[in-house]
Amino acid sequence: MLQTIRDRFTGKFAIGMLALIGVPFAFFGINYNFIDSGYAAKVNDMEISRGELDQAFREEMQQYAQYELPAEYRQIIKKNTLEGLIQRRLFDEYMIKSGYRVGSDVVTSAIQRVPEFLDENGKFSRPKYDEWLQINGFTHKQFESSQQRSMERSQLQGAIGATAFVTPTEYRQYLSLVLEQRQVVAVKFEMAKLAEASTASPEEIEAWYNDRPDEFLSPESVDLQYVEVRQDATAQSVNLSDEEIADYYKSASARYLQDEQRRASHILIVNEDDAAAKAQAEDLLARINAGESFETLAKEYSADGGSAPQGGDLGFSTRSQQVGSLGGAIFSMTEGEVRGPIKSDFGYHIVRLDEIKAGGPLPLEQVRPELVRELSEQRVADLYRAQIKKLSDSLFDAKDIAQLSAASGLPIEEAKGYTRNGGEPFGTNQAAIDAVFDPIQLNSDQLSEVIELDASRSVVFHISKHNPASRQALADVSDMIAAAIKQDKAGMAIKAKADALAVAVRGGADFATAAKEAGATEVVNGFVPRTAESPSEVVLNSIFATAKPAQGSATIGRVADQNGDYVVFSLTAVAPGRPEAVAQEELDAAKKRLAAQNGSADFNSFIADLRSKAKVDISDDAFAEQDFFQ
Amino acid sequence: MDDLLSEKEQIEAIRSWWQDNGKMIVAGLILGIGALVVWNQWKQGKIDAAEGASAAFQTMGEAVDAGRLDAAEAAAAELYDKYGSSSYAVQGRLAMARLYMAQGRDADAENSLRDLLALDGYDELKDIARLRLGKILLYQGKPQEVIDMLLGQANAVYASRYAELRGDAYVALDSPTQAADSYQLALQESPEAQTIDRVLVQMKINDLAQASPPAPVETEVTE
Repeated sequence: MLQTIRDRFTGKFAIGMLALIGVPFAFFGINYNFIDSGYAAKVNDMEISRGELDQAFREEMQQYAQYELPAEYRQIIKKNTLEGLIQRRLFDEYMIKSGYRVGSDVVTSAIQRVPEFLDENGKFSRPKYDEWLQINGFTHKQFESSQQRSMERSQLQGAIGATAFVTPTEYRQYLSLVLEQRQVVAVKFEMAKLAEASTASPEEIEAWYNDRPDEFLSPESVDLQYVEVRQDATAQSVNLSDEEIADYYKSASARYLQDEQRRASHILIVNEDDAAAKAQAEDLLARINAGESFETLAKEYSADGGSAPQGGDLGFSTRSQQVGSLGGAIFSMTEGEVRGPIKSDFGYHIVRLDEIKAGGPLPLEQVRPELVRELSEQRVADLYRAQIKKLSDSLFDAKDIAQLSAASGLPIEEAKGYTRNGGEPFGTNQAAIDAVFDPIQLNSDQLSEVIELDASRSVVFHISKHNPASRQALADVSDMIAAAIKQDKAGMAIKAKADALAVAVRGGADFATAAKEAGATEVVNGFVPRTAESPSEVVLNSIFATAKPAQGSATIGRVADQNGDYVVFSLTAVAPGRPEAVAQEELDAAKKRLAAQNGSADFNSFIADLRSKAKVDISDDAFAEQDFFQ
Repeated sequence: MDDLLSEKEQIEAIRSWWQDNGKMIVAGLILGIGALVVWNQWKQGKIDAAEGASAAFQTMGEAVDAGRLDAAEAAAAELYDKYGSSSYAVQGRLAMARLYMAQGRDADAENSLRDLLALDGYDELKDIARLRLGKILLYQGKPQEVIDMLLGQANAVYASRYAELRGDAYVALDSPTQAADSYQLALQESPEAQTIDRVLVQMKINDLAQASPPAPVETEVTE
């Protein structure tokens, strides 16, 4: 087969075919991305690149910039970001496949209505548009096609989301549920009241104490003696002489080299008619050369709104800040020279060089504060290291903390009641906790090593007293126990009362009377809406989740409320919401909201449907990889 | 070219090669350019048609938003007649259904959606159209038709929404047990995208008379 093709594919015919094939390449070139960065996902065989995912992820993470997110959260966010990209891709693919297309005239007229591009009279201003594109780094083509794409997207999105409606039946059902009211009598057994009324005898308290051998413990602690070196204490002893600073400046001055800066003024002439713009610029140059004030002409004629009010002054800038032909001119002129017209992307410029600030090292006076700070930091760090060394050397010979203090010149300090959770004077510093509660250290009164708590604080300590964990005496905790017992008794009593009440009512007793006899206080009696402020939310939820009672009967419910309180209620009737009772504008707004909710449910379903039918292959590597940018 | 040939011979060789092959190259180029021109025209034609449909759709959308029925119907007629095979014509029916409902013309809305469901293809829009049609049928008091229509609809993405609609239909048919089952199913089916208002569905369940499974009467709160 291949041989046959090869045999036939010779002579004039083959050359003709090659010319035919060549035409598209001549017109379109070879458009293929040879750089394979690996893909994050393949959506119907089209790749979403790692780069695209990382970029979107970085943008997403910016809104969490002030939080320190754990790695697993970042993973979730990254997965969601990718999911978003996949859905966006599917949406676009569907849009293109189904032939969604917004004409360029429509795009143009939409762009011409964007507020940012309008002048003072509310008319579209071409220079403003150009300037905005330049600042935001878009070409016309890029921006216009991205606008076109986003208009196409919103057309499709609107076609699904904004065409949803709410039928009168659906709306009435919705309102009758949301505005539903339920007729209840609810009574509350209060924990605090009952707890106060209950008693706790000494025997009970003792039994409670004895039954709980693992409670009422006071933690293990130690008393310490220590000496410490702190960097902030050494900082006060640093004094720098002028000579030292001058020497340091000499050795460091290479760091303070500065580029040459030039200050220039310009007049910008913008006109769609190139020749007219140039002619006007030349005319202005002639007037300046004839002695007219550059500043006055700049104020009058310059199209650069930023500099014109200052007589065209552009301020100081370095060579790298000034690009293009204008920069070239400014950095090739002599002081006071006026030059023009110079053509740039914006239009024609007339430029005057006002001042040159030579480059070179900054003078000492200007950088002195910074140098002093750096040099002091170095000195403090040196001193701190020297003191630690002295402490280590003294530790070598010292038999106890008194000798160590004498040899190192550091005062002895004391701390009491330091626990495994920390405590003064080291706070919750983990290095200190680990060193103090090291088993060997704990069981001796030997001096410790030099313990570095952090970069600026080191200590040597010995344990003067070890207080093992112990149980608090009964007398110290009996009040606490009495309260717990009362609470406990009250809780059981409440439950029993609530149960008894429910049983009595089911047996035919009148709810209100029985509740009063049981000592409950009434919370609600009447119709309550879902949004009622009283009773509490858990009680309301329970009332509205209770089965509807049959005509003429009641459903009894019980629910544990906050603070250990208990609520028992009797539900006697359910009244559907009445739309008539709501103001018309509120109804209309709610209807719009419901339609919008239906629309977004439709749109979500639409996307989920596309997603479920698509072939999506997510690369595990895109997540397994360590993220070096975080 | 053979280096050993003289310059004259080289020119001669090129000339004779051109005489042999020239016509074919020219023919190939003409064919290629011709094909390109035709292809571009075809593509442009498609773009023009799409943009025409898009503009008509836009006009219709604006009329729908403004509630101007005559203008919307005129735009819709243009869309259906001139660009009948475009997606815009399909979407147009969704928009018209909304406008008709807003104007209280449920029979016209129903017809728009039934037209859409009768079209070939566009399956990805038909589930949405079917849900909306179902709501209209409930409004018209034809719950049994809703249940019949939903028979055999098995798109898993829409399972919970169909179940909720079916529940609404059973409520209208006064079959609380089946309604409760349908609503429970709607809550169980949990596609990744949030497509039903779970709180509302739970309210619907709680609202069903006795037939609902015993509601949790005793609720404990942990402090």
